[in-house]
Amino acid sequence: MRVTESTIYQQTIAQANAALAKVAKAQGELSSGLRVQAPSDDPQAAGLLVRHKFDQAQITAIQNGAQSAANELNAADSALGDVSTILARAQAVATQLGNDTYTADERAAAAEEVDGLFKQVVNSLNARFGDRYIFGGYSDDQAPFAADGTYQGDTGVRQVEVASGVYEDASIRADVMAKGVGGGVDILQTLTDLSAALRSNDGDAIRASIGSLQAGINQVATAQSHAGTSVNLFTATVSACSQQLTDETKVISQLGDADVMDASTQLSLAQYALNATLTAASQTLNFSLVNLLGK
Amino acid sequence: MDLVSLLNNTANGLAAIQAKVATTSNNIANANTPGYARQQANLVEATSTMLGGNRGFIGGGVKLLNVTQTRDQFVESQLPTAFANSSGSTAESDALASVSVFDNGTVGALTDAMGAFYSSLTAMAQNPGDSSLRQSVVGSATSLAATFNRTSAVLEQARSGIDASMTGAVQQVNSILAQVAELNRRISVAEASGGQPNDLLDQRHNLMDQAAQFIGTTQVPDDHGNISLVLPGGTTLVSASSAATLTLQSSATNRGHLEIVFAPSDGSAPVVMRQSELGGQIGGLLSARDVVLGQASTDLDTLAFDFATKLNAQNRAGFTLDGNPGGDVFSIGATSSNAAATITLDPAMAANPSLLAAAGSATSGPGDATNLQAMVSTQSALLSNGLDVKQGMAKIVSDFGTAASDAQNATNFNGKVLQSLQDARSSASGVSLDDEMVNLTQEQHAYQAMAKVINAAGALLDVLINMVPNS
Repeated sequence: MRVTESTIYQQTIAQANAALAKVAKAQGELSSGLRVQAPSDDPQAAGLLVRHKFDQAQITAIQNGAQSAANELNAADSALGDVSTILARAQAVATQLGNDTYTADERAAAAEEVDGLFKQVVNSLNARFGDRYIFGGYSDDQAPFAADGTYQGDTGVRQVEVASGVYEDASIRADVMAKGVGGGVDILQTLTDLSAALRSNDGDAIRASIGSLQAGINQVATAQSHAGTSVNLFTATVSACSQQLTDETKVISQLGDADVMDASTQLSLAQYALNATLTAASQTLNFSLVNLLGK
Repeated sequence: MDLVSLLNNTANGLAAIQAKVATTSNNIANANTPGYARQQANLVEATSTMLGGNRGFIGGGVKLLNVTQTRDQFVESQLPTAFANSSGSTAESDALASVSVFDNGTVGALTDAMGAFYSSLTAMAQNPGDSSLRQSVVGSATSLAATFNRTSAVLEQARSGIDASMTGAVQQVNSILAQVAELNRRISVAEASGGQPNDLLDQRHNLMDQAAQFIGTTQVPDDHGNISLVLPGGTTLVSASSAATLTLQSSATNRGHLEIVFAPSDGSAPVVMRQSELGGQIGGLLSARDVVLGQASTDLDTLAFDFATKLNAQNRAGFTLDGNPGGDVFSIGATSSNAAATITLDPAMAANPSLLAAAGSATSGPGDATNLQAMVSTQSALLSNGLDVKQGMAKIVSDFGTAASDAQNATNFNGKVLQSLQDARSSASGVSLDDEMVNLTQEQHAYQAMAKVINAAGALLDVLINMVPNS
């Protein structure tokens, strides 16, 4: 093939441009730390990056929600623990004052304590987490229990996402736990009855309340157990989400991030190729018969 | 054969050698002229003379036959398509490379905004009565609508930028077409008178290369020295000495972007050209604008419309904090047309986050998130294209990436094909200074030898003249 100077010039320009483009790409990869900068660098990886980044945001949101739910349920557990302690005290009072050796005055004085215990139970059941009443069901913007023990909340059970589209209970039905809806004991009514029995010096009624209070304590314990199970579930969700986020971060890094060692090697290779191209060109372009004739 | 004839023959030989030197000189001078094909002065033997008495022919020396240009028609016939393909894919690739809205790590990308919106919904679902969480949903929804608007605007700006490039390219094409038609006329005239107008042929070649680069025309020669320029779709732009004109007009069906109108040279009705009928730089630009970016823009509109429609419908199915039926979250048109550019947060919603219809019933308390959970799950609902929101976004990015990557690969491939054909053209038609130096030396020696012949003939004449006795 006949080779002319213009062929060599054009090839020199094309080769130098190609070598320089490789240097620029390797340099961009190294300085940005990204293997996939534009979607054209790896279209499939670019699409997967979109999916994984979206998943990452969703997992973070689920993790935050589960953490809030766990915190709220811990607060509920603590409030239920208080209620349980108060009921145990009421039961102790009933057991002690159930003995007919106590006078009407002594029983009336004990009734005062039971009234105080009633108020403490109402206060505990009106516990708030942030601005939210924990035991009101969906009606979480007002105190679920009136001063007289009437339940003002509803029967809703709030649910929180533990995985995409999967929801778990994140609240306790206070109407069941405290008011005995569905066949249980109304613990507030039991306290009211105990107070009334103490005031009326009715030994039989006082002794009868001991069993009801025990049923109430068991009822609260059952609710506490549910809350504990849910706390465990949401805590496990938080941990699982942490693991998922670690995995997602790893996948995103594998898909899109530059391998620094590899990128450095590519840069060195590209620089070497550019140097070789320019050196070869500088030596070739000097040769011409024009320079040698007529000397 | 007499000595004077010998001198005449030699003088003719000197003239022929001078023509060769002149051609060599012209080659050297035009070594870097675009479109120039190396010329060759072709010499032939001059007619020989019969000696008296049938004693044989004496050669008549040398004379110049003609000056031709060296072109390899096999290579030349492949070059227009190679020029068209290379500039087409380069223009498309460059246009797409300038769009960075889908780049990995772009701040404010649609994926991040969509992720943040659904995250805020999930957060609110944990405590739907919390006003700060509601406000956060409104904030992320506003940001999402703005991101749709911005992404759409960036794509439209890129498409408008291509319009601007096309304006300049079409002006140049019209100028080239007119010049080729005029050169066709002048070359026909020159060739009719028997010559080969090499300079005009070179100019026409150069213009035809440019036409192929700009709009992808191929060349069809006729018997009269004319070359017609024909588009990939079969439309003839130049026929003999008449050239068609291309104009640009705003398209009513393509968001006002420019479309190319072909006005035939015979005065018949103008025709709007389709992208598939055009090649070269203009074809590549149109492919980037209408095929790749147009598709990304349409997909983005469909995504915005389907997403907003589904979310609005779900919000309408629920009940607000005040127990009223929910309304729209986003304001969106009746069709997907231009949806990404026009989507906004519903003004009533922007002013009052309590309108987020989280509750599943009118009578339930503020903690009811049953409808909000359904709104969260719209992220997995299939949209009109059979994909969910996440897959839809991934598809837009990977489709764009695939098209840009294809254009880059095509640019590399077409560039290499063009380079090898240009090397072949350069091999056949290019000027090699080494060749010309050797030719020049050869011609110099020939000229010196001829001069020696004149010296010898002169000496012989001197002998003859001196033989005549002085009177």
